[in-house]
Amino acid sequence: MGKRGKVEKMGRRGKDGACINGLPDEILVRILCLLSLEEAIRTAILSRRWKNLWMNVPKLEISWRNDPYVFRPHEMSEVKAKVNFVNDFMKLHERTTTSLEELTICLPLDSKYSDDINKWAEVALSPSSIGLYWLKDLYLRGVNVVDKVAITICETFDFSHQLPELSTVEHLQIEFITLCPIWFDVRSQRLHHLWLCALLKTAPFLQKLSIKVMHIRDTVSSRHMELQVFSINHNAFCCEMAKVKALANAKWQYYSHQHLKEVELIDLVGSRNELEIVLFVLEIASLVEKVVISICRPQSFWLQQDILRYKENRRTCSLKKDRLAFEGALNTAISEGPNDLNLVNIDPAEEETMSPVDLRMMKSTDILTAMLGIMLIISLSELMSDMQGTQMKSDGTLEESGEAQRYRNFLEEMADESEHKSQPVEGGWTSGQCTVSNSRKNYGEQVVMVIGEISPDSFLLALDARLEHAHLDMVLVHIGPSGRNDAVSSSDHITSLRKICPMVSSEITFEASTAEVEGYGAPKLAVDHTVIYLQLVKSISRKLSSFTFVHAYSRQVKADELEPGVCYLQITATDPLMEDEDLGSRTERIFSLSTGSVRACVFDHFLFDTPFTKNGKSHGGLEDQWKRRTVLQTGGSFAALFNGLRSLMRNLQGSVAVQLISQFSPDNSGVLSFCTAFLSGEPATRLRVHELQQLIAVLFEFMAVCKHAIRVHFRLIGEEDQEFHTQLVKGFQSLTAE
Amino acid sequence: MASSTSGSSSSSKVVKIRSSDNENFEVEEAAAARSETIKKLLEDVGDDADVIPLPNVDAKTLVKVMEWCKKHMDDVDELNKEEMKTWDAEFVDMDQSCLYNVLLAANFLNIKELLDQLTQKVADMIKGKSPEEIRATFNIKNDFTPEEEAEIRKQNAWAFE
Repeated sequence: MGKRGKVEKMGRRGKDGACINGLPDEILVRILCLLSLEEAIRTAILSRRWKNLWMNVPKLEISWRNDPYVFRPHEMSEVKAKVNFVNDFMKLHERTTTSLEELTICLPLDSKYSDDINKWAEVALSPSSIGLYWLKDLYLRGVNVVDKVAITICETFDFSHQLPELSTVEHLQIEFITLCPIWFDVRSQRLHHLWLCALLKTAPFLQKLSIKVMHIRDTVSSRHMELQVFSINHNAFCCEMAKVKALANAKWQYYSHQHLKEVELIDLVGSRNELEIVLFVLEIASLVEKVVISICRPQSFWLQQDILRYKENRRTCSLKKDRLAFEGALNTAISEGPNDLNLVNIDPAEEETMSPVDLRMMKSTDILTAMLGIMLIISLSELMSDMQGTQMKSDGTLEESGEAQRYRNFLEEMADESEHKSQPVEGGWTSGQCTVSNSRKNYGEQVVMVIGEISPDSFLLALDARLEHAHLDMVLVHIGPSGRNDAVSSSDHITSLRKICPMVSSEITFEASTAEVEGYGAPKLAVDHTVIYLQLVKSISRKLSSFTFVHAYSRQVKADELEPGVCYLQITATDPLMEDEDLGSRTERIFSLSTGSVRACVFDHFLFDTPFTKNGKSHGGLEDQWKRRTVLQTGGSFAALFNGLRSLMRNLQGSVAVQLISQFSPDNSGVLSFCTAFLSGEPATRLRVHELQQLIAVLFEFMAVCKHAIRVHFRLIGEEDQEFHTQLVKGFQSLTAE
Repeated sequence: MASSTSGSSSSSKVVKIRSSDNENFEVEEAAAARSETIKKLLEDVGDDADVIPLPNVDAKTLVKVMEWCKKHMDDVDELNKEEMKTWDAEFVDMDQSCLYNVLLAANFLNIKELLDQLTQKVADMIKGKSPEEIRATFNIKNDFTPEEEAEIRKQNAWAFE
């Protein structure tokens, strides 16, 4: 009754005595909570009654309409305004008794705002301001550990006492921001660890931890900025680092988390950062039962070529046979432990061929070993991409930098370890390209490395380290165009290479360098690289039992970069050629090699093919295509390069089916079109009868092999590959019909 | 309209409540217990409760609230969810003064779900409107001077863009 009078007094206009202004603050704030922040703020202008109401809203959610990881200069003023707003809002809440229940800030912030971020984190996590006590899920987004922020957060989370606020959190998801995996700073890595440590310690009942590492493609300018930040604060930074390090060593070495059961890695690309983090978590958390890794699709910073390669490999590795090998390798490590590791490939485009690889029943120590194997390679590739691997002394000789030395030691230790444990699990996860599947494909082999983005000097170092300890069955080198910034690194590559291999000179003798420049594709400047890398191979090939050289250099040539008056020649693949060898004996030699005889040879002649068409068109059917064989003589000579053909064969077995399917597909020029080209086309008239018969015989042989292969494939596959098999059979039938 | 003593035919327990304007209602206990306030009172008083007085809620509003409570007495299964949604949407579609009264009652009676529905209704009325439109909708008189208004706009200019 009394209430009624009150309402009437307040809401003068309401017919029934009720007006929205008559509602108590409590309810109005509740309503404001349901609005977006902007809308809530806009209500301040309605009337005096509303002026300060929005400030009591217990949540703050600032979102950003665009990708918060991209900086756009013209938005900076808006960002600043919002940051100021958040600061004011925080101050307000420090004064008032209303507690902040929800805090979400999503803004493109850089290191300029570290202090602000620190403040927010303090306010948000200080016991007095927020009742995080009942918080069960904590989702931290954009923990930019490259910045100084992490340190202060670590300090805020004083290690010495446990924060009660997170003590009920059971699921924690963290998104780390890290620069593109190519660029990597050890110091920031440690911060990742500490930061995780701090969080894990503060959340003793945590059961599930999700980690997502965001890779930002770093531009040169922002990297520069970052470095500046580091150098300016260098002294202070070092001090803090030492402090944090000491704390870490003292308190975390023997810490073990008692409740953490599940670790989830979201969108893994296989960078070292990510794996180190997981490794670290696994170290701390002794009771982890499940590790879920979802592998992310290649991102923008991957080169087109790498993506293709990646996809190809993925498909290959999804074949049952390879999976068996992979599982088999890991099965040897199976023991009684109830833990499992799930590798789940999430790739919508490849769904039909991909299926989860279950590595159940692995003990976490085995996971660790497997991870270490992976890490080893990762650090290798990190090393590769590190242009500072060696330092140039004043007299021009090379000296290993401390960094490289450390890596090398690490590698040596690792090599030792993996031998002792006789773990056949050695993967080739390279940071830049993530040839995850390569590693998996080759799990059956003893040691296989797939290296991308190599910087030759460090490559040598790495190989040295490996060679002394491991029995290398085979090394696959993939020399890709350097992805980060071509102009700088390729010239650097060459200079450093020249230092290593003094015999390398850019002068190459062409015995028949009259290849037509026009006609087939664009001329490319790759000779330099080819020769240099070949030379590199030479210098290390003596130590290797075998070495397969896969050259996949393909770079867009810019016309204005080419010097006028010089004839450029594209060399994509070379074939070693023995001296005084004619075509007949060459085929014989290749045949003998493939049957297993190993011959020590020295080559300085290489053969490469230049495809062209007679009519001058850049493309043509198979009938029109011709090849010009060119002999290339190098300044130095190469030791036997290909006694490893057998292991290559073995390695390639996994991918045969893929090649076959492409050959059976009608729109691809495969075996069939070769045959038609030769049997029915113009050349047929010019071939001698016995050559034709030979060709036909070979074709029949090929078909027989195919038939056999299909039968073998059928035995190996499971149900999920049935469709693929049917496809194969269909392709084969269409081939035999012809 | 619910008359004062329309005894429920079912065997379930019935509680008596009295509105601010001294009208008595008999409601099934399960329905009344949707209100945390009544539930608490019932627990405190026990079985020998006579009539529960609700001095802040008038009869008209109480009828509305109890209508909602009856509808939401049982837990909704998946099948009825859609139906319930439309019912709820129709329920909150009432004139403003009635809305505020029910809102106040829901707040006092501590019926969280109803409160959520009603606040959402009001929030929806605010959403997407300019300040002027909001004032018109809710009959709010602008008691700021132009200078004051400009000052507020300036303070958080980014929100007004």
